[in-house]
Amino acid sequence: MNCQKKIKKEIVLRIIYKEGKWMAFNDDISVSGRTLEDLDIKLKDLLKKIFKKGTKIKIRMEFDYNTLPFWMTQYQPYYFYRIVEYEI
Amino acid sequence: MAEERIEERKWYSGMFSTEDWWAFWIGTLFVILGIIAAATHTELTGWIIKFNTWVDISKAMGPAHKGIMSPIAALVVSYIIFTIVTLIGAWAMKWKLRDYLAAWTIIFILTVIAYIIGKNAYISAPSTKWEKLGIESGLQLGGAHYILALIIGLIIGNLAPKRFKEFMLKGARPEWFIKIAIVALGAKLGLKALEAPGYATHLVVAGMCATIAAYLLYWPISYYITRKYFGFSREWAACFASGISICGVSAAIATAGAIRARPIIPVMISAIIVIFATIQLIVYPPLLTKFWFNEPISAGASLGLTIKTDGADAAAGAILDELMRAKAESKGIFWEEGWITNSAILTKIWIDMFIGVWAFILAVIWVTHFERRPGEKVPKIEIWFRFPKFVLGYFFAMFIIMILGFSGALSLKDLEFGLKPVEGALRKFFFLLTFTSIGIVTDFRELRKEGIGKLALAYAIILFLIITPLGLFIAWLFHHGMEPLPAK
Repeated sequence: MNCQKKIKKEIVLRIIYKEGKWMAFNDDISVSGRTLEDLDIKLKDLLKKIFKKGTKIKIRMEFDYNTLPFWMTQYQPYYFYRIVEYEI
Repeated sequence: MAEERIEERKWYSGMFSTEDWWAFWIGTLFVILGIIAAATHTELTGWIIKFNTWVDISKAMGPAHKGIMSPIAALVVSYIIFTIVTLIGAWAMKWKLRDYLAAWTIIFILTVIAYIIGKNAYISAPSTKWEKLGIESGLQLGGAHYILALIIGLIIGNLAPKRFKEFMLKGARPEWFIKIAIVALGAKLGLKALEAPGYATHLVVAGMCATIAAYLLYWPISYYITRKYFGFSREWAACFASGISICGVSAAIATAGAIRARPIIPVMISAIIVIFATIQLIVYPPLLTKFWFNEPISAGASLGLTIKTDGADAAAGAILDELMRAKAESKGIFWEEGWITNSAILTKIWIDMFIGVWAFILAVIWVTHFERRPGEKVPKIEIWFRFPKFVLGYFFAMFIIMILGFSGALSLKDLEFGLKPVEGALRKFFFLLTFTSIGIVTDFRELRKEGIGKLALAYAIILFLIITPLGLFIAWLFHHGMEPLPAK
């Protein structure tokens, strides 16, 4: 029986929508895509270059609410918070 | 790109950085001050500025507890304390304090002016009060102060130079102000429940039932019509249906977030919602007073089901309260102030509370059916993230007062001593701040923007031909026969 534990990683990204593209970033990585599917694919490709095969990664993406007009933020305090999990 | 550190969202995220939570903190602070004042008989809330119907301008305002200070002192103290508490919130939310302070001060002054002018006896007093006030004629425009504040705001929002308007938007926060007022209104419902528990419970339960009924009808109908007859895409139709069916801007943003829509969608829909809510708040109360006077509570509840922002709904409820009571008084019927407003707000509060659950359901449907993205999960905690926290303040205020009153820990007289200034004077002043602010944030010029026409047409048709008639029917179904309690 293979008891080797998979390595688990967590990444927190900020996500915005700018000039027709979704952009997810933190201090270390940054990716963009025209759709969220596109963004996820590019992010996965990028993470493959950084982490070893078999690594489980949980990505938390919080939409940067400051990018919405200031007059709107009083109505609802939050936009979305995506959680995506991959295994490299 | 933002420079601040990116942190993982926790259940307590936003507790000190959102207006929703700050409405809870500020509203609850004043309710607690009122309870301490009730327990200790100290003047912790008696300083709050109260405006009166006047013939002699020296009697236009004064402290909520007469005689504890001069009218000007009460106004200055109220300005200082309201400024400090909202500034603390603004600081915690990382706003530009200097800009907020300047804009808030202008809004405060304009609101006071509107309040004083609008409460002039010749303008607002009903004929039944002329003899007492020593006047022989008058316009009898009940709620004139509300309309005046709204007009002042609309002038700034639509006619002022763009730079000045942009500047004023930094202090014009109608949703924040109304949510603080709504927490205070919870205290009123608590006090009233001590006198008439059965009636208050009926109002709360009827509001909840009406909300669920409205929800189940509004959303699918709106979604279907916009898809079938206006050719909206799924993401536009879902955000639109939530905005027009549930709680306006808040629902449009929540739904857009839930289905991961591009942010431009809720931005455009929200602009329309704010404009129509302002039109409704001006038009609906006089129409309901004229044609539905025999069903005052149903009329109030219908506002909660048809006007889609908290601020405009509460504002319309306050106007309807004034107009209905003025008409009743002209017929020799005297109703207690606040019940009609409360019926408008209760239906809205229930609607607000369900938005988190509805957005979660939509998120699951979208992620599992329409836009499957490998690995994406919808965390259940999103329901909590989208739950309106000021509602906690409303129910906290109501229940704590009921517990203290029914247990005998404090008498009704004591509770009224401490809390009347909060649920009365403070609430009404924050209502009026809301009116001024709604005017400032409502920009009718948005209707001229490219791409808005079709959206506005769809909104107008569905709002006036489907949402409003259904809302009237559902409000009647659950509230018919109810009248405000008689004035003491």
